[in-house]
This record gives sequence, structure tokens and C-alpha cells, in this order.
Amino acid sequence: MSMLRMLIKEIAHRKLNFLLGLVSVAAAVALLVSVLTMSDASERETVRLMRDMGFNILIVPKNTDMADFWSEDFAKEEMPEEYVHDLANSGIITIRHLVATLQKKIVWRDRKVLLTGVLPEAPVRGREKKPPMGYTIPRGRVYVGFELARSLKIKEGGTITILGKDFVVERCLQEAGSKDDIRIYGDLHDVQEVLRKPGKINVIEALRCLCTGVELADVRESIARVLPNTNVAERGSIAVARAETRKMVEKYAAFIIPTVFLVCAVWVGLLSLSNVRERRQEIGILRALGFGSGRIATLFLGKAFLLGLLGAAVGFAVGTGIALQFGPQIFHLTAKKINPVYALLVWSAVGSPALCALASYLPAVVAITQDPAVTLQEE
Amino acid sequence: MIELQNVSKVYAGQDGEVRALDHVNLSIQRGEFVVIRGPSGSGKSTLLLTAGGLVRPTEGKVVVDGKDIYTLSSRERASFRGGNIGFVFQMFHLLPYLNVLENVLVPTISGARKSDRTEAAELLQRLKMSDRLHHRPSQLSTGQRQRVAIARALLNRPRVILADEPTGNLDPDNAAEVLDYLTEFHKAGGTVLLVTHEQYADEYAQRIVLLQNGKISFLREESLKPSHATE
Repeated sequence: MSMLRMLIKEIAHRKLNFLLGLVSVAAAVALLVSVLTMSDASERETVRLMRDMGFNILIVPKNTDMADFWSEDFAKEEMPEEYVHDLANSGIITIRHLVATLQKKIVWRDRKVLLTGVLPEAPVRGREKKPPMGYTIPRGRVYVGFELARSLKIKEGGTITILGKDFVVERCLQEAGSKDDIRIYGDLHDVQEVLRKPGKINVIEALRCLCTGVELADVRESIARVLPNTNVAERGSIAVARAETRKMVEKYAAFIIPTVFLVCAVWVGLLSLSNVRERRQEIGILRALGFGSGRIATLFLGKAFLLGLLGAAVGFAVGTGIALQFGPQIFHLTAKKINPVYALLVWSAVGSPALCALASYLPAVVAITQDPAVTLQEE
Repeated sequence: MIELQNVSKVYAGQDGEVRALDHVNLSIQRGEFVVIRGPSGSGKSTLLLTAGGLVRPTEGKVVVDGKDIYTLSSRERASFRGGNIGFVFQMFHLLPYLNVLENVLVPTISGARKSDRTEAAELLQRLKMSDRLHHRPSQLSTGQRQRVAIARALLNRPRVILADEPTGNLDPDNAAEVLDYLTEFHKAGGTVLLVTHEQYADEYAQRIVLLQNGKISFLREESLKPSHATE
């Protein structure tokens, strides 16, 4: 006869008490495991969605009239092209994907066109390399916006002349539903040449880092330190809304998970207390048979430990199953990132029994302080 | 062997203090069979549990083999009980989730002795329970349950058996049988302290003690007739 055998037999005898505890612990662990298993995919999905929506940080010369900027969609003032390299070399961490552009509204073939010179993305020093954003357009070639190409019947491979210089149409862009449909994109230096503005740009576009705690004020402050003669604006309220939504979900999870665990701990504690009350006479007789307080406490804490361990195993299996089943339906772009996280099994196997034992601590104290003179005389 | 020196036990009740034991002095020698009689609420069970190291007296000492057992730590006292005292109760207090054999083996978990299934089975055979080894307590008659409780009390080869109304729930035949087992233990050199309100237990005792309102008065101090105990 061993303590473990006694524990297991008692659990088998009072199945309902144990099952109620098990369901509670497994549900709490399953919630945690499913949320954490999908969190990586959730994070990447938000980043991907934001990236797909384009740049959301605009750096313009300091004296730019922002009212004009928003109405025209480009800055009339200019700044040195070196600014983008200064920013990239500063090792700035609040923004990434820096693309310098020179934009100017011109009249071309009797139409107003936004001629846009793009410099290939400047890699930020010390940052992990990611696929570049923005266009990398070869010299002598252009990309033509959808509306221009459609209305002027411009075809890929054809040649067009802009401000006296010939360009090959490398690509006709798909409909964007924005001013981008009346843009002609070229290499920055080609556009500087035709606009006669060598070494000049008027906007640096960038993507705000989704790092925790980075606010627009931080972005502005960090850019101002490197480029004091610039202004920073944020575009893309939808992108911001996505980031805010993600933050809100994280905050909600940060509230709901501890709450669920607290409720679970209280529930396990109450079940344990009920178990102690039900076993009052048993505790009394065990004392009479030579069980010390330590062994009596071990009976209850051991049961809680087993409950936590089994709850962790069941909860991990259920939580992982939920994440694998429903995760890909929620996170379409990053579904492949949803895989079982076996480290969570280890954490659950350590944390859940500890939590259950903690929840059963007070009932165990009640058990060892019961007066056998009272309990052994109860009928 | 067991000496209660000026022992009092006071409980806090709803209507004030309840004095379950009131300055009790009692000395029990090794190998004695002592019956403690008294009406319900006279403090018999409290006296038994106090003597067994389960209920700390409010004042006074319980000295066993020259040592005040309440100066021992809780762990040492538990170990002392496991190795020296066997308890038998009116309500049997068998664990409902263990079978007969496992119930008898429970004291071995306390560490006083190694688990010995063979010895437990032999003990149960002597108590005519060998065909019920794997039955649950709920499948046994009250007499059989008490025999299992006695086997459990005997497994650790105690020096003393403290029995609290062990025949209270039994019919006369089963009650006599239980008293016979206690006598057998006594004959083998064990000490028995039996609490009861039944007069028929007197004929098994060497000494009878009357307890009333927590106070003790000796009915007979010398050994009774050479009764069951000395036949």
C-alpha cells in the first residue's frame, strides 16, 4: 500500500469532485495554450496586413505646409537625398523600410500626372533584413498607373517620353483606387534628372514599427534627433486601427487569462475544501493511525498536484487542437505558423500543478488543523 | 505505562466553556485491561483520545513510559501513535474507497512499519475475514467492519489498544466476538483501554473506572475475578 495508490483510489471513488476540478483546470490551460499557440501567427498576420497596406509614416521637409501636402499628396518643399541614408545609418528602431521619393505634379499628354521617383529601400543599419517594400525600378524604365495606362492605351514594353526623356514601360500597374492610378513611377535619379532637381527628394516613406510601447510621439522624437529639419506625419488610419485592435486583443487576453486562472484556482480551492469536509472522519482516523500533519497535507496537495498535471495534459491537447483547427480560419496569411508549441506543455505541466497545489493549500491547512476528538465522534 | 496527571480538557461551547475532563488522574499499567464507563457526554472519548496523543489537554500531562507525549512534536507524536497504539472506534472509520486488505494496510503508509500484505492477510484470516479481502467496507456487515478495524489496529503490533465504544453498533454476538479479540490481545501481553457505557464489558476488565462530568471515580481498583482476561 502506498500513498499514491491511496490517492488514486480516492480519486476513483470521488470521481465527480475530481472531474469538476479537471474540467476547470483543463479549460484554463486550453485557453492559455490556444491563445499562445496562435499569438505568433496573430502578430505576423498584423504585420503582414499593415505592410500590405503600404507605408504609414511620411517624413517631409520641416517647412512643408501640411494642408497643401494632404490636398496635393506631395510636399512642395524639398530636402537632400542624403537624409534617407542618414536615417538608415542612424540605426533607428522605431521605423523600418525607408524609401526616398521625389514627387511632382506635371501635365503630361494634357493630363495631370504625379511623377514619382523612387529610390530602392535603404536598409536600416543593424536591423534584420526583410523583403524590401516599395518599387525597385531600373534606370530608363517606368511603371504606369492604372488610369493613365487605361485611358492613354499605354502597354507594357512600349516607350513613352516624359519631359523630353524616353522611358520603356516596364509595368502597367493594377487598379489601386487612389491617386496612385495617375502616377508614373521611375527611378529616383531619372526623375531628379527630368525635373532638374538633382540630389533632391520631398518625402521619405517608412513603416512604423509594431514594437510594444512605440507611439507616434516616440517615432517623431527619434526621427527629429537624426533629421531635425523634417516633419513626421502618419498616414493610414486603418493600419493604425489594426495596430490598436491588436493591442486591444492583447490587453483583453492579458485580462481574461489571469481572470480565468483566478476563477479556476478559486474553484479548485472550493472543491478541495469540499473534499476536506467530506473526509473529516477519514482525516481523524488517519491521524489516529499515525499520519502526521505532513502526510495528511500530502494527501490533499498530492491530489491537487495530480489534478493540475492531468489538467495540463488535457488542456494542452485541447488548446492545441483548437488552435490547429480554428487558427487557420482566423489567420489566413500566416496559417502555416500555427504549430503545436511543445514548450507550452512543459510550462503547463509545471505551472498548473503548482497553481492547483496553491489553491488547495488553505483546505490542506484546514485538514491538518481539524480536531480528531470532534471528527471521530461524529456519526 | 500510561499516566494521566491532573488532566483537564476545556472546549469552547456556544453557551460558554465545556469542561470535558476535570483534573483527571489515572495510571494504567502495562498489560492491564481497563474499562472506562460513563454516560454519554461524560468525557470518556475525550479521555481516550487524550491518552492516545490525539487531543492536547488544556492542562495536565499525559506521561507514557516516563515521557510527556505532548512535549513531542506533532510528527513525533504521530510516529509514536503509529508504532505503539491501535485505535478501534464505534463507527469503524474504514476508508470507503479501499478494500478490506488495503484498509488493514493503511497504518503501514504512516511509516511505522513496512507494508506486509502476507501478515495483513493472516491477521484477517484469524479474524475470519479471509474470504472478504477484496470487498469494500460497504459490502460488509457491521460485525465484519469492526473485525477489519481490529485487524487494522493490530497490524502494527501495538502495545496498547484504545477502544472507543467498539461494540456500540454491534449485536450481542458480534459484540462478544469483538471483546474476545480484545481479550486475546490482552492475553498476549497487550494493554487495553476500553471506553463503553455497556455494563457487560465489565466482566472482561481487570479494572473499571467510572467517569461522570469529566471527573473520575474508581469502581474497583484491583483485578476483577480471574475472568476472560486471566482464564
